[in-house]
Amino acid sequence: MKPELSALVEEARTALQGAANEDAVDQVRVAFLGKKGKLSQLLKGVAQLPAAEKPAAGKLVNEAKGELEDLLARAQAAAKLRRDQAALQERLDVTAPGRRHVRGHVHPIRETTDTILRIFGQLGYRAVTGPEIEHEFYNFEALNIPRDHPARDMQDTFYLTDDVVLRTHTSPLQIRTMLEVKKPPVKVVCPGAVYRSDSDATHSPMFHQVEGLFVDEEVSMADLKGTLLAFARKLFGPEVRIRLRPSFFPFTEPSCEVDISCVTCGATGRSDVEGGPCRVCKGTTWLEVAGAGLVHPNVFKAVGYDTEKVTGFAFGFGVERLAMLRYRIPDLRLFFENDVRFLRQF
Amino acid sequence: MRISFKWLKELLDIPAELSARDVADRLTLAGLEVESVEDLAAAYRNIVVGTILTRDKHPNSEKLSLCTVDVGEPAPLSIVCGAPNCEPGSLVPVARVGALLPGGLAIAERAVAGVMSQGMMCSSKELALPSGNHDGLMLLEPGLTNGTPFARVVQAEDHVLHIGVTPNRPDALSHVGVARDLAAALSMPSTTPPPNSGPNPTPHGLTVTVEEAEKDRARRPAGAAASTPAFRVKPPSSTCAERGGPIDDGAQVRIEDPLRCARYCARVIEGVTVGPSPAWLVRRLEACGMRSINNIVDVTNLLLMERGHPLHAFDMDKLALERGRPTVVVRCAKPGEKLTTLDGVERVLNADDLCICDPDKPIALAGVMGGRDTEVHAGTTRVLLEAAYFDPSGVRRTARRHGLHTEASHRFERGCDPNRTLDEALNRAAQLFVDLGGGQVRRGIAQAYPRAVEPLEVTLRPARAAQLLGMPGKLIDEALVARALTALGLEVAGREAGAIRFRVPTFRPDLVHEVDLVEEVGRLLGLDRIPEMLPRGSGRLMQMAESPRMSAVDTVREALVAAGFDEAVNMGFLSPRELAPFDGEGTRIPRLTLRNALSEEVSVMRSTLLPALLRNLAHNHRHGEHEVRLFELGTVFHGARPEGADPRPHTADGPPGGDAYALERCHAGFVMTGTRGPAGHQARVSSPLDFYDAKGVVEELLGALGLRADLWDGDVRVVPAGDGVAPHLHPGKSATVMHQGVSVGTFGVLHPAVGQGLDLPGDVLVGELDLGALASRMPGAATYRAIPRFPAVRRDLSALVEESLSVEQLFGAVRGTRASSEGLLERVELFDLYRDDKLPKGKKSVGISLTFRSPDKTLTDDVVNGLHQEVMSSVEKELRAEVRKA
Ligand SMILES: [Zn+2]
Repeated sequence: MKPELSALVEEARTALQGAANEDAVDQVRVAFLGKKGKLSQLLKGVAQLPAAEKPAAGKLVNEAKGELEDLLARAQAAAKLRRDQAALQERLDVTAPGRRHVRGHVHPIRETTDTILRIFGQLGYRAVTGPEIEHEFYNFEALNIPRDHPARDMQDTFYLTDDVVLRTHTSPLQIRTMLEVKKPPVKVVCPGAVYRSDSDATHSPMFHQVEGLFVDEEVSMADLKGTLLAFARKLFGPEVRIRLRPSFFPFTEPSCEVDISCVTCGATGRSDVEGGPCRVCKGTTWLEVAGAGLVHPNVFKAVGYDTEKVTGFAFGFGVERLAMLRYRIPDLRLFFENDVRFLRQF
Repeated sequence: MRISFKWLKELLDIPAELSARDVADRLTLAGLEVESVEDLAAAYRNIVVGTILTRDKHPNSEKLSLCTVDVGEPAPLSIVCGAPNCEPGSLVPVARVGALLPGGLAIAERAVAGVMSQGMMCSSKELALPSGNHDGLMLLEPGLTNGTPFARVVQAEDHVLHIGVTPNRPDALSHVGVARDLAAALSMPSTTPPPNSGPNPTPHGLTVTVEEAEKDRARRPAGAAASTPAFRVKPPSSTCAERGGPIDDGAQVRIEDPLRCARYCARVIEGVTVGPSPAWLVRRLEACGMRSINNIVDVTNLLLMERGHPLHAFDMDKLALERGRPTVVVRCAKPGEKLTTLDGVERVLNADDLCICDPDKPIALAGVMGGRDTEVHAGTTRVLLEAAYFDPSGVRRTARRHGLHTEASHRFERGCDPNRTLDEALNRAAQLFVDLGGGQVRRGIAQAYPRAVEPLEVTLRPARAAQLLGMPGKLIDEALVARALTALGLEVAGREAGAIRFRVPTFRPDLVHEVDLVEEVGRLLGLDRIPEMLPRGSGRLMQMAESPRMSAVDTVREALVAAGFDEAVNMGFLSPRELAPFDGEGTRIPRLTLRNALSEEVSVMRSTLLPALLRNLAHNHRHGEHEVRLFELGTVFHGARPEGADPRPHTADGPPGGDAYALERCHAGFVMTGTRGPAGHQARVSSPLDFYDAKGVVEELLGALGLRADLWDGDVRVVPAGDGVAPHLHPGKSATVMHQGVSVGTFGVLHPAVGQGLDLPGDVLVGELDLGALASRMPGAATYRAIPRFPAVRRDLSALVEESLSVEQLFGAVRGTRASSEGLLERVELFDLYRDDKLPKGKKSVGISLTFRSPDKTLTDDVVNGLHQEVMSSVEKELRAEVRKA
C-alpha cells in the first residue's frame, strides 16, 4: 500500500507543477481527492483488506490525504499569488474620460433668482408668488399710481382689458401680501416674471424681478441700506459698496435708486482689455441695480395699515441685470433663446 | 429735460470751481438724475477765428487760391481755398488740423491740387449754421481776436445737462426749478461724498457726519436765521410795463368748466412786429433742443424753459368777438366739434376735450396744442397771451386721446403752478414781446380764477424724519430741517412741540405728506449719510402660511436637472398659430389675447409650455445640437376666471391677498430628442429615445415629489390619453397621468403634424404636468416603516399572453390572489417584455418577478410554492395566458 500512496503523492506533486492557475489546481484536487478521485480508488482497496490490516492502511491513507491537501493548499496559494501579480500588471489609460451620468443645467435667470431668494431666506424673508395677469387695482391703484397719472408712463403696459394688465412689476405682491397677513410684521421676497411693452437690445418685453418687502415698527432707510448692502456683498463679494440715489417711485417715499460699485472693472471705471472706459458702468464706477424706498403711506392706507405705527421698506431687483453682471453676459436676448450652448455654461 | 449750464450760471452764483460735470453729480445725488453731459462746443473743436493775410493764385488751378491765415500763432497757416471771397483782411472761421466738421469731414494736413494745405476756411453751410449773405466763406464781425475759439463766437460754449426728471417733479422741468434744487443742495452743511474706494462707511463713519453738523452749527452766528440759505436763485425780473389802454376794452375771459380749468389769464400786447429772434435767444432755445420760429413764439418757449410754465400766443385779430370784444371761453368741446391744430391735423373733439374757444369755435386744445387758424404769423400785430392752469388728468386724457405729447401737455399733466409762476411767466413774456417786437402791453390782466389753489400746510416732526431716515436726531434737528426746506421755497408757517408747520408753494404739488418733506431733507442732505443697519424690528413672527408650490418647483427642477435636462425660460406670450395644434375638438383652452401686443407673434398668453420649448428645440437643432433635453417651469394661462366663481385661488397655495383675473397654473414641461445612454467611448449601444424614456422622466419627476407611479403600489396611474385629450401627441404613443382619478398631465411622442414647419429631428418626446395640482397632492414627510425581520423569497413567472393585454391587467390578476390579500406578496416587478417572430402570432412574452414575505415569520418553501401556484393559475385562467414552466 505504502508504495502506491507515495507514487500517488508524487504524481500529484508533478501534476501540480504543471497547473498554471487556480482552475488547474482545482482540477488536480478533483482528480486526486474528488469523490471518484484516485485516493478514493485506493480507499476501495483498503476496504477489501483483512480487518487486521485495515487500521494501519487507513492511517497511511489519511497521512497521504493530509499530504495531498497540504500540497494542494500551497499550490492554490501560489496560483492565487500569480494571478494577483498578473492582475497588477494591467494598465488602463487613465486619461480616457470617465463614465458619467450627464447632468442638466439650471437656467441662469433661475439660478440667480434662487441665489437671491437664498440670501434673503438667510435674512429671514419668506418667498411668495402671485399672478402675472393682474387687476389694475393691484398693479397700479393700490400702489399709489392713479389712472390718468403720468407715473403710468414709467411703465409701458400690456393690457388685456380696460382694467386687466400683465403685471409691470412684482410690486402687486406687496399689496396682496399685506392684505393677506393683515398685521405686520411682513417680511417677504417676491420673485416672478413681469412684462413691459418695450423691446430693443436692452429691453425684453418679459423679464424677471425680485421684490422685497419688510414692514414692522420703526423701520428706517438705514435698515434698508444695511439690508441691501448685506445682500450685495453676499451676491458680489465683500468688496462691493452701495450707493443710494434719490429717485421717484409712486409707492415709496422716500424713494431711491440703488447703485453698486461696478463689479466688472472693480470700480476703477476703466476697462483692462481695451484700456478705455469700462463698458459696463460707462466709466462711472457705479451700476444701477435696484429701486427701493420706504413704503408710501398711501400704500399702507390701501391695505388698511396704521401709517403712524407701521413703517417699512420695499425694494425691487431686475434678475436679468444681476445675472448679466454675475456671469458677464453681454446680451439680454441670450436668456430667451434657450440655446443649449448657452445654457450648458452655467 | 435739457438744461443749459450757462443759463444755470446766470440764475445762480455757482462756485467757479464747480464744473458742469460736478454740478451734474451734485444734482444726481440730490435726486435730479443727470443722464449725460453734452459739450456743445465739442462740435467746433479746433475751429478758430483767423484773418486772411495774403492771397496768391494756386500754381495748378484756376479756381483755387493759396492763402496765408493768421490764427493767433507766431506762424500763419498756409491754406488752399476754393471760395471766391477769400479776401485778405477778412475774418473767417478756420478749421484746423484735427477738426471734425458737422458734415463728417475730418481736417488733416493734405495736398490740394499738389499744394499742402494746413486746414480749411469754412462757409456757414460747412459749419451747419444758417447761411449769411454770402455764398462763400463765412465772414465774421471785425474786432475778433485771431485764435478765438469759434464756439465762443457763436455762443456755443455751453454744456447741456440731460436730466431725467421723474414725473413727480414738474417744477424741475425748468431752469429756475433746477437752479432752486441746486441752490438748496449747495446750501446744506458741507459734506464730502465718500470717494469710490474703500468700504461703505460703517456706522462709526456717522460720527463724522454728526461732527460736521456740529461744526456747521458752530459756524452759524448765534441766533442767525438758520433758514437763510447760502445760495439763492436770482431769476430775471418778471414785471412788465403796461403802457397800453385798459385790458377791459381789449379782451375778456370766461371759464365754463372750473373743474378742468382753475385759472385762466390773458394779456394783450398790441403793435408788435413779428420777426426773427436775436442770436442769444436762438442759441438758448437750441441748447434746450428747440428750433427758433419767430420772436413771439420763441419768447413763449423761452419762458417754458425758464419757468416751466407753458404759455400760448394767439393772433387776437383772428378771434371772433362777443359784444364787440375779443373773448376767450374755456369749455369742453361739443361732441363732433372740429379743430385744426398747429400740426395741421383736423381733430374731431369730444365732450371730454377741454378747449380754448372764441365765442364761435374752439381755437386751441387746452394745455396740449394751439389751433392753426389763430397762430401768430408774420403779419400779426395784436397778440393775446395765455397763461393758465389746467387739470392734470384732463390734459392727459385729451393728449392721449389725440396721440399728442407736447412740451405743454407734459408739464400740465404733471401739474403746473397756478399762482406765482404763472404770473411771473405771463408778465415776463409780455415784457419780452415788447422788448423784442415793439408795441405795448395793455394795462391789467383779463382773467378768471374760479377755484383758488391754496398752498398746502404740511407738518414735519424732525424726530420722525430722523427715525425714518435712520439718521441721528442730533443731526436732523429743527434748524436743519427748516434750512433745507426753506431753501426749496417752503415757508415756516408755525411751530408746535417737536414739529414745524410748513407752507408748501403751489409749484411743488408733490409735497403732501410728512414723508414727502422727509424725503426732501434726506435728498438734500445726501443719502450717503445714511448709515447701514440691519433691521431689528419687533421680533414677532409673520402670520402667513407657507406655500408648497415653491418647494415643489425647486424639487422638480432638481430632479429634471439630475435627469440631464437643461432649463429653458420663455416669454409668457406667443403666436396664436403656435397654440393651434394643442386645440382638440371642443377642448380648446380659452385664449387670453393682449390688446396692445408688440406683434402677432407675441399676442396671446401661453396655455402650454410646449410650443416655446419646441421652438427652442428647433433652434438648437438648426445649430447642430441634436441631443437636446429641455424643461421649463412656468406659468400658463387657462382663460379668465369665470364670473361668480369661487374667488379663492384654484389651488391650495395660490396667490395671497385676493383673486387673480386669470386661471394661472404652474406647469412643468419637457421636450427631448436624441439617443439614450451615455455618449462617448463608453457607449456600447445608443438607441433613439422612445415613449418609455418620456415615461421614465415623468416617473422621476413624480417620484421627486413623493408620488409613486409604480404599478404595484403607486399613487399615480398612467392611462392611454383618450381621444382629443392631447391632440398634440401621437394617438397611440401618448398617456395621461392620473392622480386619484384626476388628470395631472400628459406625455408621449409628439404628433408628427405638430412639428411641421419647425424642422424637428426624428421622434420628439414631450410631456407637461400641472405642478400646482401635483404640489397640492404631495404627501407630507415620509413615515418610517419597520425594516423586515424575515427573509423574502423571490419567484419568477413567465407567460405568453395576448398582444393586447396590458401590464396593468397582468398585475391586476396577480393582485387578486390570496398572497396579495393576505399581505404576503411584497412586490411585483416586470422584468421582461418582448415580442418575437418566433412567438405565436398575436402573442407577447412577459416575465414578472414576485417577492413573497411575511412580516412575522419565515415563509417555508412549501408555503411559497403554494402561493406562487395560485398566482400562476390565476394568471392562466383570468388572462388566458400560457404560463411557462421553468
Ligand atoms: Zn465698470
